Amino acid sequence: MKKVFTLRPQSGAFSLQLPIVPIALTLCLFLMMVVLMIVGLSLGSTWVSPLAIMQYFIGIDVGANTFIIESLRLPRMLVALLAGAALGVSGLILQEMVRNPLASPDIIGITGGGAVAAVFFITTFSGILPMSLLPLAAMLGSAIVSVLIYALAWKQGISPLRLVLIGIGINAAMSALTTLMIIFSPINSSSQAYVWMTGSVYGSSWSAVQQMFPWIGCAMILALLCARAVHVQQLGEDVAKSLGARIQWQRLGMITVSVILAGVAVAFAGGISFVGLMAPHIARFVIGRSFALLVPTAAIIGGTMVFVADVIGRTAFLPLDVPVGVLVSGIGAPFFLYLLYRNRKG
Amino acid sequence: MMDEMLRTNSLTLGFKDRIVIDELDLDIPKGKVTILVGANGCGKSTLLRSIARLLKPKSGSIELDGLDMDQLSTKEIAKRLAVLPQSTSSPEGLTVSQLVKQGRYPHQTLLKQWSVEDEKIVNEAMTSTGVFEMADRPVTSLSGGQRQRVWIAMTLAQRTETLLLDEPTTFLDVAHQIEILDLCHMLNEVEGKTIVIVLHDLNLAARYAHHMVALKNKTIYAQGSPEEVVTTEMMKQVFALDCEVIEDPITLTPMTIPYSKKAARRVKERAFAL
Repeated sequence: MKKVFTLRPQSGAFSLQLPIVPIALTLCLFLMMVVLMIVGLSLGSTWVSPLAIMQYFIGIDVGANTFIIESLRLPRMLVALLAGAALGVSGLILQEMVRNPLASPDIIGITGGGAVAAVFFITTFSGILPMSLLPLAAMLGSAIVSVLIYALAWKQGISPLRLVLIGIGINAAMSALTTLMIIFSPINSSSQAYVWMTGSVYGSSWSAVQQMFPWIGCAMILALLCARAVHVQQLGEDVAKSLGARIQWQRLGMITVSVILAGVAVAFAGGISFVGLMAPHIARFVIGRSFALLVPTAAIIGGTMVFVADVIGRTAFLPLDVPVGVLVSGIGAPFFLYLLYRNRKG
Repeated sequence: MMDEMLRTNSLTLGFKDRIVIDELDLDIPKGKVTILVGANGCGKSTLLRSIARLLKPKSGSIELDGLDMDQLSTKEIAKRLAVLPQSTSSPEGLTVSQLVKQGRYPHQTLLKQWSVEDEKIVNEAMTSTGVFEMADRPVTSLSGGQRQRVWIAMTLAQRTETLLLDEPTTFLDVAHQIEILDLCHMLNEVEGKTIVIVLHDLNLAARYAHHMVALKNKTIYAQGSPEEVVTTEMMKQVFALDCEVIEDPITLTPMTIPYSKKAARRVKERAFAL
């Protein structure tokens, strides 16, 4: 069987190569995600049968369950999914850009900047300004810190290694600042700040979904457009330049997309860590090298990780609602170690 | 007068305060193999990197086929001039054909990513470098010589008139050094490419070059045919080494035999025995 299908119409207007097996795998992952979503929507303090969920989706009236699905579980699940997908792709872009598998938005300070702004907002303006402005504050924080990192890393262009080192430095400063603000804040706002920092999608509404979707949708399309740049830059700076790639502009573009994705995720779901690091790795295990396919795969895997963790968080410890960030790290970290262990043997 | 493909006009190169190449005027002939030689740190790689626009000159300009390089877009240059840098690394899992395909980058656009022409040229590049059979193997699994041929195939897929190679034979055993240089020779003979190589091995340089350039003291010490450049005097001045220059018994090009402490002793011993 041919491994690659070439899309090349007679007119010659466009031409693309489509690797068949990875595309099939991506579709499988997508179906798996849909199944998990249905199961996840069924689970909770009240059991709603998967059949009812499917009926709801195709527009059949499911009575009292409508409220549970539509108002309680679905928006929360979608926020988790979007945040996870955004973090996964954000991490993917950073890892490819700096050619280092350890890069992720929570390691190089993008998330940290959002956290400082959010905690500052919670501890200072809690009760003065409406909490609906919190996402805006967090996004601003991520953006400002990213600009700062970029500016400090600039030395006749951006060198990826320098960017990572400066990011780590900034991140350390940000977490010190966050801790300091929490210590000096009254107890109730400090516990709120803590929950936010771990990452939580508790009480997410449709308005959050509506606000997140356009940003993440656009950024995902932009991420797909980075594919050519990513592939050429993988060959190293000298080769990429000699092939005519304008690598500084490409890097600026990639960082911007990555920051938008991480910033939006942080704004609505808080400081969920680990997804940005792990989702791209799992996606590479499954798909291989093609960046254009790694984007949807990392999104599916990141999104699935976060919403599954959230379903567990809100069902396994009833009546407690454990913040999703705790479970992502709690389940994700051992799973990741397992993957690395298996890969070592294989 | 010969036709030149590349010309530098009082080109000055360096890093921070250190000048490596000072006001250099160099012409590189069209359709010929030019080999740059010189001692370690004489700036030959720096010069090549600058011609490949991987390094910004401090002052001066470079002309490519009569056009000022500053006036050309990076993509436009990439269609005329291909470069194989000194050290290359290929990402884990990337296959030979995927790497060679990247050579089409300057010719592709977002919409036209894999035309019939691209496919044909990539296959030709892999065939002429003898890597077609390995098309689906990961580059990292190949030997040093094979890997170098794959990278050369990538630069060929760029379809440029000019090819710059920075020490393409480093880390290769002697058989593979010959193989790579034979490949360059073939590309020049058959396809008429202008080739510029930075090379350490003087005997091989003398064999394969039409035009040799020896660099010293931030500028050209000597240039011309291998016979004109490779002399005992040049060896003394450029490499600070005493040499005999004899005729290569196979190619009749100049060949250097350096003196060394050990050689001196052998000569003495033999003289004593006589």
